[in-house]
Amino acid sequence: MQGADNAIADLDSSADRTSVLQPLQIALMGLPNADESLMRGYLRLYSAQRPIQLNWVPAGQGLEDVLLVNHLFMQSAQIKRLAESSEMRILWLERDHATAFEQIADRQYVMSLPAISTQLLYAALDQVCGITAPQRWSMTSKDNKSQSKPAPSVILIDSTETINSLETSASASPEPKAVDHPVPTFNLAGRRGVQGFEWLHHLTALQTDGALQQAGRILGWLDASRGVIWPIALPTDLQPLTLHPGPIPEAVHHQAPIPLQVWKWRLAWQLAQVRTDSVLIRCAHWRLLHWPQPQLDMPESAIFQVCGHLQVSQQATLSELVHRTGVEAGLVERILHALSLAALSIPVEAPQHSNKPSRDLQATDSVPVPSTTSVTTLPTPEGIAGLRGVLGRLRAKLGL
Amino acid sequence: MTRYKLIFAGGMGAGKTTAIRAISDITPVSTDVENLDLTQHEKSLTTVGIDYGIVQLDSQTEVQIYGTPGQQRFDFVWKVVQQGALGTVLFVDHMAKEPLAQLVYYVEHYLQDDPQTRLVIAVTHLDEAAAMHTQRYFDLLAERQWTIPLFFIDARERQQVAMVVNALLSMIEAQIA
Repeated sequence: MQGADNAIADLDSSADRTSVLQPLQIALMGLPNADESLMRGYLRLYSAQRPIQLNWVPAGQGLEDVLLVNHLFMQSAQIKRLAESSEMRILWLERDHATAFEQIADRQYVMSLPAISTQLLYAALDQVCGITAPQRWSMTSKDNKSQSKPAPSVILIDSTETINSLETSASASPEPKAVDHPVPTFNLAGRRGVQGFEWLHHLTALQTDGALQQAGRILGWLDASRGVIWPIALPTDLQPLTLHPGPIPEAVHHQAPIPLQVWKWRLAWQLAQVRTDSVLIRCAHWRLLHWPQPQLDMPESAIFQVCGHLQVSQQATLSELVHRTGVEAGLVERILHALSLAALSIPVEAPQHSNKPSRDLQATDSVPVPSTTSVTTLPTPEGIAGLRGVLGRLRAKLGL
Repeated sequence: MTRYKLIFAGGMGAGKTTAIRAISDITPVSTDVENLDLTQHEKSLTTVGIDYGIVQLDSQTEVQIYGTPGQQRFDFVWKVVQQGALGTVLFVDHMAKEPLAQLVYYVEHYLQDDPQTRLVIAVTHLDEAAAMHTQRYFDLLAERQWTIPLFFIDARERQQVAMVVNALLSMIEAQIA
């Protein structure tokens, strides 16, 4: 692994990066589920910052470069034999260990869980894995990769900064406030309610990778270049993210990435509840660009009904949607507002009765127009009634 | 007996058979055999005929779910199965070699056969790796001017498969409103 850090400075694309990744075999032994999940998340986050390819291998077969093991097995004769018979490094893990990280013997280290900062985590894993930290942050978005100047080493966002300053500091690659560690850190602490929603909503638009952190805990990794968030832990205060019972607890459990679209829609949905531009929502004709990704605690059928009618009719007003779907007006208004906030729909000019499109309508020609559905040949009224009944019963059968 | 038909389509290994299993009232009738086409997908079994499941609404009404074979050499089967269907869920394996190309291939195939077909896209296997930017699916839909519902799901989860079907039902309702 030595010297691999030199290569990373020359990387300009993720494809180039992939071609020089050094394999690192990791094995886990005796860790409680929560700690194993945490370490897998940490290592995934870490591997995005270093020229390594993580491979998970079974423990005790001599395949591993690094063995992560519960500190309770420190006296295990089997592990001692393993350590003596190979060049592998052992990282003992312990909850709330007296020191955050220390080397206790040749190729043996102890780390306290959870990690108290990305800075410490990366430094510890560098030492354990035998990697020298790169001088340059390489896993940025495409826009940042194209810049010849070094990317910012750190962007520390604290709770007193405004969203505007966050956007400026992260997207324009300004002078960093501090040069402590090579990862932007987005600190969620202190952001609550509407401010928290808006802050996170804007964060997803920055096209900047970074660690999401709250009160020293690493919550996840915003991987803008892949358009996902890798969750690692749940925030202690769920309210700013309104994560419960959305997809993020499940994603943390399963170590699954969350597409940014999913997250953006969740935030937009919450924002639409507390802030609404009623005049615009009520007066405009709306055109659907993409369908949202409903989550467990959302009125899925109502959202789909509104989207289905928007798609079929190509554009519609709030009152038209209320009339056609039978969904309560307040809920349709919230759905329209959330669609707008998440950039899934746009207001368009009212339909013209002239055969020729107006100049304003021509101006929106670049906007995707639904083309896959239009009103198809309808069955008989009896057939339609029967089909409606079937659809309703199928929904009920599927628990919808 | 009144029968309605839903189609689960898509490439090999995208999760069609798994999704049918997730919502079917019967043990799905499967025609899986050993996969000899490892260039397309590494899974050991693949569907060569039609998978078949049922959601029984009452003694006289059932919704049949047909899973079409994933390999493109069986495309003649797709057309036969498609006839009279309420709509199609197109499964796309995010981990496939060229998921976007697969998506385009299948969507064009179904739109070519019936431009008014009701189609929902379900992208699966996102949990295995985020090798490709998920936004690219939406960029592709916008570029092609396809406002097709697209969801990221786990085909093993009944609730998520049901959600995709729900979107399809909403499109049908909107058309008959």
